Amino acid sequence: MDASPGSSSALNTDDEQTALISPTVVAGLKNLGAIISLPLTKLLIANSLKLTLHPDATIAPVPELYAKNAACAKQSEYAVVTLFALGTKHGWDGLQLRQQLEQLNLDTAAVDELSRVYEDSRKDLILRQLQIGHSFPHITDIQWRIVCDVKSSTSDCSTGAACFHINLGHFRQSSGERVTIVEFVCNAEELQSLINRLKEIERHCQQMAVV
Amino acid sequence: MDEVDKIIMHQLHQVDAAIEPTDELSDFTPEQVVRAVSGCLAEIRPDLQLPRSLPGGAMAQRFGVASSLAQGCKDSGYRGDIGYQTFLYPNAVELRRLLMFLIEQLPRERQGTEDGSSKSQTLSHRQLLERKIRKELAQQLKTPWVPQFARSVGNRKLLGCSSLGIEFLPNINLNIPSANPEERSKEQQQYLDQQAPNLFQQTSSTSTDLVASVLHKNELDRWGQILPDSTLIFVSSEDPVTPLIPTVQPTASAGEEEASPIQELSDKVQELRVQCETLLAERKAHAVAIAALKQRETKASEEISRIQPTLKLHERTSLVLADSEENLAKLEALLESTQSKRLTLTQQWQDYRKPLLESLEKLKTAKEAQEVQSIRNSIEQLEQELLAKTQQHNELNATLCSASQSLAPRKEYTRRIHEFIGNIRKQRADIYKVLDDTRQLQKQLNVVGAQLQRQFNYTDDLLFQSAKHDLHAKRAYKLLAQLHANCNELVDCVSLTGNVTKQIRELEVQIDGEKLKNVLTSLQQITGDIQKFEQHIQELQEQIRAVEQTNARS
Repeated sequence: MDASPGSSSALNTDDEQTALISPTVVAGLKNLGAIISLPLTKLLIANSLKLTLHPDATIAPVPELYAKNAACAKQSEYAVVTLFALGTKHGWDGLQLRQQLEQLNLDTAAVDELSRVYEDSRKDLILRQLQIGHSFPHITDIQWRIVCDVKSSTSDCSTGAACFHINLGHFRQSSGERVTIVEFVCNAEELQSLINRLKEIERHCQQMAVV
Repeated sequence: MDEVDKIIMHQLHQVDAAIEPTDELSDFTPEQVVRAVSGCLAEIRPDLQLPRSLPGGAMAQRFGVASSLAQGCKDSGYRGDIGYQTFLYPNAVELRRLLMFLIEQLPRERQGTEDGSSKSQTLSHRQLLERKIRKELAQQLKTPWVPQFARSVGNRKLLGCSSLGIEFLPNINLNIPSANPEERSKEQQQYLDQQAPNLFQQTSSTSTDLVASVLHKNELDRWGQILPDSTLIFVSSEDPVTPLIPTVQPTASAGEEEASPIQELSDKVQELRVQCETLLAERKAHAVAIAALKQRETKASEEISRIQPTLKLHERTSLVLADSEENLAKLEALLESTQSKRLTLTQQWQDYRKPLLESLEKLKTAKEAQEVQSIRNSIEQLEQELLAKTQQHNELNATLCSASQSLAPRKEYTRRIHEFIGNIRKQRADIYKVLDDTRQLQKQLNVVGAQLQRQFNYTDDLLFQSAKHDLHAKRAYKLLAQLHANCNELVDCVSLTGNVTKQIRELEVQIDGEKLKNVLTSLQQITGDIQKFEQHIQELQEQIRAVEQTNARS
């Protein structure tokens, strides 16, 4: 706003970067230290960070956050989580985050708190974000059974045909619990075909890897 | 060896089309050697900056280029003896070894790429990425399997293990209070304040991830900014349309008041329409009548034209019949005159016709002769062509035969390789046999030696004991000691002889090797180059002297 005319190029790059933040986030950040009091702001930031880093852990709720101006608090929670996620995504350090926030004319105490918390838990945030992969599931485990029906919904006696009941899945990173991704039944021939396809993939990989 | 040379030539020609294939590697000039080796090195290691050709003039530059190429070969893993001399004074054996090594090192994907696109020395980003992927895949194939729990532990990631345990599953319907609260209605505000779940509650289900949802929503909000703008444009363009509606409404109400004139007008229109229709029907009827009349007219004119010739004939006959005798005589006279006229005309016709017919005959015969001639010519031509073609066919057959012979088909190669392998096996068996024999001999030697030693010790003891008392025995003991020493010496001599023969054989092999390198010619070349150097140095010294003198004078 009251920037010197000499720093126009710097301003341009900052504009490009602040464009990464949506207006909802900006509005949520502006609530901090203004509509939401400073102690509550600190509490809100700490709570958001905890919930971001440990999504599966059971964390005690903080009802005092929503006692007054609940809509603003919800908006601010979203804003804080988004800000940290964006910062981690674009590899900002504490100083860069502070520059970004100062561009937005936020409350100084809130800016201090945000940059401090970000700086302190940057490593954890990076580790958290590194674990996010594709939207397609990773298959890391396979279980199978050979099944044969005694009687079925359509027939009263056994068909006598054995088939393979195959379950592809992975383990949840946090709890270690197994998650089924695909479950299917096939006969020996189809299984053979699947295995051949998988072998083809391996062969292709080997072919590609040969320089 | 010439087949190996041929293969090398073929490969080199593929690497660099500028390398002219010669029959043997010994014919390679230093320039060609440098060109071939630098071409191969550029393919093997594209990041290396190497000189492509040998400079013609200065020896120092030539030396520099050759040294850098030698270093490049060493860096790419060549273990043989290599230096500037390999390039400047090439000999066939070393060169063959070096080129075979380089051709083995050539990257395989080259064959695929060089078919299509033109070769480029610098790699594109895509190729670099492909290379990276290949490297990564090769690394991943080598790594052992690790259970999922252990993947994010320690440096597993370096070994290609993925720790991407959380799927990128955003909640696409995040309900977050929007940026400007003025837009919200009272009910919305109340809902957001009291009942709406917060961000963490919305993403707490197992199928969504908090960070993914938040990033997704942020992007949606950012790009969504563009959409409302466009809808605003539509809204503003619709605005001027709305005032039109009230202006239309008054006209409708005015229409009710002026009902009677409109009624009048519409009645009039109706009337006119009916009138128009009747007129059209009338017109149609008239047109049909006109068509019928026209048809009748054409029929009548046809009949008239049919009747007219008969009418004329009738008129003439009636004229002739009027004065029959006179007219008959006239007609007979006319007949006679026309007959005589006809005779003269036929005579004249015959007169004209005869020469023309004759000339026609002549021309016909001439034309036929000409045709025959041309056919003959064409036959001759075709015969010549046939001859040429058969000759060409023979030639091509011969080249085909020679080509198939010279290329030495794959079967031949495999047969030879099998032969080599058989020979090598036989030789190996021989070597093993010889080794066994040697071992056996060694064993026997050891046994005999030990026996001898024991025997000697026993005899020595025996004689030593009796030597104390007997003079003859003393002498015998001395002789025994002497005999033992002499025998030892003899054994040493024999082993020494064996060693010397071995050394002699090694030296012979080395001599043969050196002979192959034809040192004499390279030595001559080297002395020639040294002389050139000396000459160059002398010239330089003279120049320096001249410069010094001019300096002293000035």
